Amino acid sequence: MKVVIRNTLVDTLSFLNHTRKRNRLFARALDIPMPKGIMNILSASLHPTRQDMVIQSIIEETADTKTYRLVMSDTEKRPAFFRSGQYISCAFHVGESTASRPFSLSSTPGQALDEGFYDITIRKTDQGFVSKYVYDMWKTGTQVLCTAPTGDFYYQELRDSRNIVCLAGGSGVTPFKSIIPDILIDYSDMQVILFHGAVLADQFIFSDYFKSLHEDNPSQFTYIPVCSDPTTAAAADWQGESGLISVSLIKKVLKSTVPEKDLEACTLFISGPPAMEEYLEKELSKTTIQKRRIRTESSESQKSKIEKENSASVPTVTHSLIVHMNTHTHTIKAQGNETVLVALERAGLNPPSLCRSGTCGWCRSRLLSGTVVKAPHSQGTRSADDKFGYFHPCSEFPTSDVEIYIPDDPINNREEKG
Amino acid sequence: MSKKFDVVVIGSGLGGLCAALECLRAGKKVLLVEQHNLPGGFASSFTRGRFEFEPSLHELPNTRTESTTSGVVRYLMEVAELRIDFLSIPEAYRLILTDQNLDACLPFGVDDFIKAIEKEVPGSTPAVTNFMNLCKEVQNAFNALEGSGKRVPIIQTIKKYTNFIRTGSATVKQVANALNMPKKALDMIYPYWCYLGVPASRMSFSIWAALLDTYISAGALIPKFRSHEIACAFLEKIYELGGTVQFNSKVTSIQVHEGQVAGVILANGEIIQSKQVISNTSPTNLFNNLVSPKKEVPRKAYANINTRKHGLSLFVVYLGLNASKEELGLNEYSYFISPHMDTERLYTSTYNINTDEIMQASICLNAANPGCSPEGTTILSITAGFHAEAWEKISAKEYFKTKDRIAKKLIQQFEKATNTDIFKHIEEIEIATPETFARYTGAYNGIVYGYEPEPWDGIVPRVLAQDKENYIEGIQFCGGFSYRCHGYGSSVMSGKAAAERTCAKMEGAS
Repeated sequence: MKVVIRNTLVDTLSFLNHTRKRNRLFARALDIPMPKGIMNILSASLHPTRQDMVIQSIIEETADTKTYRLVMSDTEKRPAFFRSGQYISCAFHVGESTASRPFSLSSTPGQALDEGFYDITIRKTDQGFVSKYVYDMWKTGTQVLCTAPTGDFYYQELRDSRNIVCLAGGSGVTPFKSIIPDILIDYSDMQVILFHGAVLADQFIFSDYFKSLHEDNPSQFTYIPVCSDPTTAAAADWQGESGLISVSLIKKVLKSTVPEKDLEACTLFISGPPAMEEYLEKELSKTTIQKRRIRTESSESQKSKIEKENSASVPTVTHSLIVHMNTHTHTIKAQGNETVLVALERAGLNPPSLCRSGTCGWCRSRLLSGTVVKAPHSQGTRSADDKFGYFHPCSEFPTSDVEIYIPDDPINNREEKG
Repeated sequence: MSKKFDVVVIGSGLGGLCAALECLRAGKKVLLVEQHNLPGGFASSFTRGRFEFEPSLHELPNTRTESTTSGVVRYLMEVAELRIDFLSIPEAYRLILTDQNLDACLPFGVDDFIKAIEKEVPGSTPAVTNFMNLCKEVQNAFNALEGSGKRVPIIQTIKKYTNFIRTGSATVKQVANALNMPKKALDMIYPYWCYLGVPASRMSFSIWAALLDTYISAGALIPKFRSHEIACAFLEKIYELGGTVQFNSKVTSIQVHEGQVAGVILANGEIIQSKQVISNTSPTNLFNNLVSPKKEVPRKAYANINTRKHGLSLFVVYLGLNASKEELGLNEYSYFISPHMDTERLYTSTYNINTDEIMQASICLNAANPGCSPEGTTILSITAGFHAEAWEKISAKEYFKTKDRIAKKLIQQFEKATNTDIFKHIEEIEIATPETFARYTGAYNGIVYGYEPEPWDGIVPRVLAQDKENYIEGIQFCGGFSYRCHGYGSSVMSGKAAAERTCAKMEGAS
């Protein structure tokens, strides 16, 4: 076969003419730098590597809960936009240790964009050394190093039902103060019910806010605080629902608000402590609701679940951890009942971490020798990582002396540089 | 104190990984710098709930058959000896052209492929056979080029492939016209155009021919654990050979002195001395942002990147579905769905995110990789090409809604074409846009496809121009923006070539 496009000679010669055409085009072209890519600009605005913020004001929500309002240190800037329900991670230096914690944003994306702030709401817990640190040290004017918002706990209209049931326990209610008003602004056809369980009647964070949100949107939003222990003095004049948030309670409320919809037609958003999650898991297994209809905020609860389950099952054994980080090598101690991440932080090594629940993969590290064990229920490791020996320090525990390689945290890199 | 390396590789995309490995195999001291916390660039994976998604790979041509002696899979398995488990893809593609009532499944294997077209387009066999033979000859010429020694002039190597030379300057459309290809047969052959991202009237025939022949004659593969497996396997070898790799790190500048690379500076302030840089980041990014001092960038380099047409980025909807592929009624792996196969019009619509004239390339991962998701679930991904410019007017505020709106349209298009129910089975959904690709890889405008392979900017012109367009001594490019054009296989092999050129320069200098 002989292919001829124009004629053999022209075809053959034109093969060599490309170079001439190429050079001609280059000779005519602009020879100055190009403007920055529009997608790179958008990316920098939506997902900045770090956000340097400052506490503008502090609001006392309940006796043991405060909301910290953060604005950008550089007043010319606005914090990044996000999907309501997402969290930011804040970095801490507590004594010799470093730490980071994820906090759900309790303000709306619109507030970030229009008014320039994020709210995070933190409850002081007895065992949490970070929350104690925050209570003692965070004042108006304190500088806070934050990541961009991230996470998958948000309403997704292509997946979720128009009927949303939010199930919150204790301070797990914080993302709903972002999600619910955001949904009500965007979708006039949606129904939202929020169940908020707390131990004492005076622990209902944002209860005034949710009551007035109901008054403004009576047909779309229902607020059901549930007091788990109405026998206490603080709950003496409690008149609302009490006990645990059970399937029968959810069904009862559903029937009175949206009688045409049964539980299986709703999407459930769950955010609360591990005990609540476990209870709901058992409760929901009695129903025919599909897995896709249940969205769980895993970061805080999964984290404490990881720590609780392991401290119960593993004896306290001290292992030696050899850590290669960029070009430095450190030898540190690690307890068998704490995650590798916690050991790294106690040693002040500034390891990368975001979700602290195994899912986001930001702490991914390489296991050079020794053994680690994954927390039960942990999801999120990649199958090739299992094959090639990578693990997530935030959700795995050492079971022998180990040697690991972890990457530097780019956020902290830049901090050191000033 | 600064550190010294023989070669610094910027970026651990497939090109960078391969370049680093090849330099190490040649005994060089190598530093590989990656800004993300994962290797691979677009070759990666991510998890949502109980699903692990493939971000970008659709298929790798299976260049490890008896009839092929070179190519990417043979390189990965036999030369680099990487630990990758490959799985075969069952068919070439199912093509659904909704405005033309065409719904046909095209098999791998040239004879079967021609027969499947004959069935829809009676009488097309002679023309299609000619076309496929020509593609084979072009592919053979490329193989000869790849296998020829470095010192042999290109023209010398390819002069016996006369049809390769005659069609070397032609577009796909010119060749199709010259061979009198029936329009409907072309419609059935053209879907792979979306892997190149240039319409038939501007697409370099030689690149197209090589791509079509490789896929159809050899079939295709995917790695079992997503393309992240390829990246991890490369890294394993790199560590084995003593390479230094820094993640979450970034080259902020390349120090150039009188036209020669002297070293690089990293984001944490570290200074690295090295006379050789292999760049997996594009010439566009390198010349605009990395060279220091700026006056070391020759004006010709700016003219080069300003002239070349920046190619497609992608929009991908990743779906974890709570039903098996049998329950959903999905039997094939690869679906090309489009109203028609007019590549000019489809190309034009990649500049408009509001268009309804979209061609989608969709993958049902379970059809080739049954264990990729839990029992009773399916992973489906839907991909469409967009130019970054199509997103120009989208502000941060509109961004998430815009994503959802386009994703909805694509899922609807898929449902309608395949007569399946997708929405009611969505358990996990993630959506990637050019912004997403820019965010994770740092690529200029999130471009996945490199410079458009028009005839004057196809592989051969790029190879011929390589020395002339080597604007700064000590920099070689690899990856999708380099001489091999884009794609998984090209990116890998470009890394090998960049390493060879770099090592040759070092030997010449010593």
